[in-house]
Amino acid sequence: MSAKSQPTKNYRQLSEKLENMVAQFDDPNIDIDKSIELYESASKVIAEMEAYLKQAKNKVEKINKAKN
Amino acid sequence: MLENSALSPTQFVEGFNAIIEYNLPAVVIEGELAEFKVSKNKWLYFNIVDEQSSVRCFGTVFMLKTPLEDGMLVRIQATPKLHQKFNFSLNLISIMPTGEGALKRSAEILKAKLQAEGLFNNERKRGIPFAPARVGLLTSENSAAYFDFLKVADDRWLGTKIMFCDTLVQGENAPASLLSGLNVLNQLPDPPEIIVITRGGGSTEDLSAFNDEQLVRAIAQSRVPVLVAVGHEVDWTLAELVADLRASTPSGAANALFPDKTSESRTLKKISQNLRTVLLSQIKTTNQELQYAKKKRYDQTISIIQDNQTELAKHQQIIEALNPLAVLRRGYSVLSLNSKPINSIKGLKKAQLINNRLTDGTITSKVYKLEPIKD
Repeated sequence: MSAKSQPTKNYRQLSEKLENMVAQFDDPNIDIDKSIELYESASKVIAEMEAYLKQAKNKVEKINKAKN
Repeated sequence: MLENSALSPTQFVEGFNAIIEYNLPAVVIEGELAEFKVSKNKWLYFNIVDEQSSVRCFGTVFMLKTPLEDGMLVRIQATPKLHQKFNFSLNLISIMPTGEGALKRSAEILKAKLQAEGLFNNERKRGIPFAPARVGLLTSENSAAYFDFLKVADDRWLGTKIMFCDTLVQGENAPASLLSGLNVLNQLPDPPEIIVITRGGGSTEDLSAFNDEQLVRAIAQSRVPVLVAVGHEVDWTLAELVADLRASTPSGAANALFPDKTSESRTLKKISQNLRTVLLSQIKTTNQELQYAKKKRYDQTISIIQDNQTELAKHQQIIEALNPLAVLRRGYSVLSLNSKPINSIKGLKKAQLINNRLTDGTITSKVYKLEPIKD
């Protein structure tokens, strides 16, 4: 297995960020300006996550055990 | 002659041991356990027997890798020795149950003990992180389990660092090997988010390492959550019972651990579409609210203007009523002398010329007669 360039944020961090934004978006009291701002930010996060799903590869690193 | 070659008991013991050490430095014996006893939590005493013979054995509790009881078939490695005072015994090097029956029985005893301690309670089990970035893997390199796990991991997910420790997964040394791997991964400065211990299926004896008490306790105490996948479905090993998550095969472990990237991609598209729909709906609603507000404001303004117009009309009526020209239109006239209005006969003289303003013109008149009104 060879490593390709790894994204800086891991997928779970991006997913949590997106979840947070979606929760804010669902707030019925949110004003339209904030909605637009959130939509733009969420779209960027989604793009990063989609890039992750296309580019990153798994990498195996062998760890040597300490001798008893 | 025999009488002249008598040995002392000590000499006999030393000579005997020298012969035994030379000829049988270590022996491996399989037999049934009898009169098994642990003394002062330190010393083991038992006999290893068959139908005709019984041999005394002696060892320490540190050699016990798994619970034992009378009747179990065991395999011991030991050195034979004649003690100066305690007669003959086999000094243990190792002891393990052998045969499916004994191994299962041993595991059952240990299971009951650990269960009573609460090691298998569901409350102890930790969650498995979503899309882990770092995964520890303990298995035998070049085994089918190793390749199966990695293949499914690669099929399903991306971007994970798999921190692999090559370990034994069966045999006498397997527990120590797995324990060592577990400790190494736990003690890394940047440890994995989860550790997977896995192997393929096998006999009870093949899988016996996963019932080792030390290993099981180490899994329970692991700082990092542990997923154990031993390739079988029936009779879970104790390592599987104590783990945070269990899978039935190495492939099953990878399936449980990693999300499916195709499914994730679909979900992202759906989220994106939903957000767009919600935003458009919000814009539409806001627009409608704005239009409504505008109309309301317009209506309010019109209403104010109309009210003001009504008020203005009233004032106009009042002003009109007070307008002197309106009085003239009703048939009255205004008398004036030298452009000053006349409102009394006083100061007037006969034959004086006065002006008479009517609604459509002026009449010049001469005073003919002045007559005051009598009360």
